[in-house]
Amino acid sequence: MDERVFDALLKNALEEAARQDAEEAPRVEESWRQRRRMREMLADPEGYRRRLESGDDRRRSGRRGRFSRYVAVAVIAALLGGTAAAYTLRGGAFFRDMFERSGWAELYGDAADTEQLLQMGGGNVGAVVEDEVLRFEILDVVSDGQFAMVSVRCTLLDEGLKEELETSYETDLIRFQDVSITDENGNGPTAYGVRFDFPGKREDLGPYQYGLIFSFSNSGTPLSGRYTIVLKGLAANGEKSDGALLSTDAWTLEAMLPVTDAEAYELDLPCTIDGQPGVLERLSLSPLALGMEFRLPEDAGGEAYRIFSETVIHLRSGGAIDHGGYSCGVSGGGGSARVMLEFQMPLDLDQVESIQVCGEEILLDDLRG
Amino acid sequence: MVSFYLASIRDGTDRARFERLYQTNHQRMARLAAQILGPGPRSEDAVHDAFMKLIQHFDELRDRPEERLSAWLAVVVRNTALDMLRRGRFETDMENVSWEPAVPADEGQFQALVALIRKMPEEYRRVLELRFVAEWSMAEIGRELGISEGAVKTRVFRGRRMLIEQLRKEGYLDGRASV
Repeated sequence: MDERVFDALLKNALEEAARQDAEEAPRVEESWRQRRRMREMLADPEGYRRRLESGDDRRRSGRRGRFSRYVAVAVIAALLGGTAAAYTLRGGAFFRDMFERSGWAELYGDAADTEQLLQMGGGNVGAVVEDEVLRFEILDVVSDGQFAMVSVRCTLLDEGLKEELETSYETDLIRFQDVSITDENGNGPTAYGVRFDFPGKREDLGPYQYGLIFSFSNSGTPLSGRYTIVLKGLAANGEKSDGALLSTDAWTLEAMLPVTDAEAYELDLPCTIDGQPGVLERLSLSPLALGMEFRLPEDAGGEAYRIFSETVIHLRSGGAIDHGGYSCGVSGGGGSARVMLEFQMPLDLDQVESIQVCGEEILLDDLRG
Repeated sequence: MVSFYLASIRDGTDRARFERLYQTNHQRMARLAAQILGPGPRSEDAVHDAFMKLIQHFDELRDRPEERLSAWLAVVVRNTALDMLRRGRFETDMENVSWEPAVPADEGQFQALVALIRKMPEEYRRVLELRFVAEWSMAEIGRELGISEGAVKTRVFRGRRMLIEQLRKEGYLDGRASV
């Protein structure tokens, strides 16, 4: 056999050997971490390579032995390449799945659009903050400019605290006594809330794992850029715990919100609030929320605020979303009120025909011109 | 020093091709890496790093057919995974390698050779893969493995000879073959 013939045979045989090895190896499930970083790579291979080579990437599995407190800050600037592949591989997947499983799809019908969440994905997804006590993983970040959500999985690592929870308080539930959310200038959002999912409530929450969903909104100033979430005062949360403090430590998480904005209109529309004259000054509409700012009589009582939860969003299909299809939050006082209706499903804004509030019907086509 | 990066993956066509390669190969590569390192973060890192190398070499590899690129990826991930194994492996003395007769999956010299490759010591299989499949130069292989170019040539030579002699013993090559 000629040497060149053998080398050609050898090449094909080496390839075939690798193929057979792979075929016979057992299937492995990729971790969420792997799927997430490969998604970033695929969205912008060159950008990802440059960041990695310049030392920006901190997602390698470098944990060996002792844990130490660190903040993995990875600002991800995923560029839309204009291809379908890049579009489908952006963040927002966790929240898309969450909404799709929520059971609100029937109420919203064709007016719901969960896929748009992939366009609203923020940065720092996949970052991990960890010490000997807790591990926090940023699962997802989305923002539509006036309403943002950050999903975090928290894992209790300290075996001593686990035992204390079980034996002293007969619970595996925890909470944080103090939560703060601030932007780069140290300012807090207009409103925020935290939802706690406990072990077993979601498929991805195992023993001593907790799902935290931070939602926050702003009236007027768009949400964008770096937001810092600080959690303090880890406490037991059970009937027998009485909020017993387990640790006075603080944990700091960071989320990067994309730069985007809600549809906003300055209206100065007179309306009636609890029988008295008021003014709808501003309306902002985005897939996740409807924001409204009112001027109302200074002596308006709390009953006046009830009217805001009677807002109805009329759809082009003839359907409507009323107080059963959103959560209403109101803040203000002294002659002003800021209302934020949080939708139960991401809304396709093109399906919104009008907004009925405080006895007035506002046609979106008129606003959009 | 000014550093600049050449854009290997230039446009939407390149990205689409890269994504296709990923979708076609990543599961297979994960299995290969897990065979060597066990399932977990390290084998995932090996897969990740193999795709990074594809990005780095995309310019040179752009015109290769996709089945060849699949083989290239398999070789690179194997090499990367092996690289990540803990140091402490010793060089295998070729004379003390014990061979079981290759049991070919079916008839033929080719399958016999494949079976022998799958059984041969890793340090020889690696250099052969990097040389013949990934088509790296001796110098590149030496840098990758941390050995001299001379040592690479020696391993290539000895690896080929090992396979040829075993094929001959098993009757797949006659004694007059020039190799």
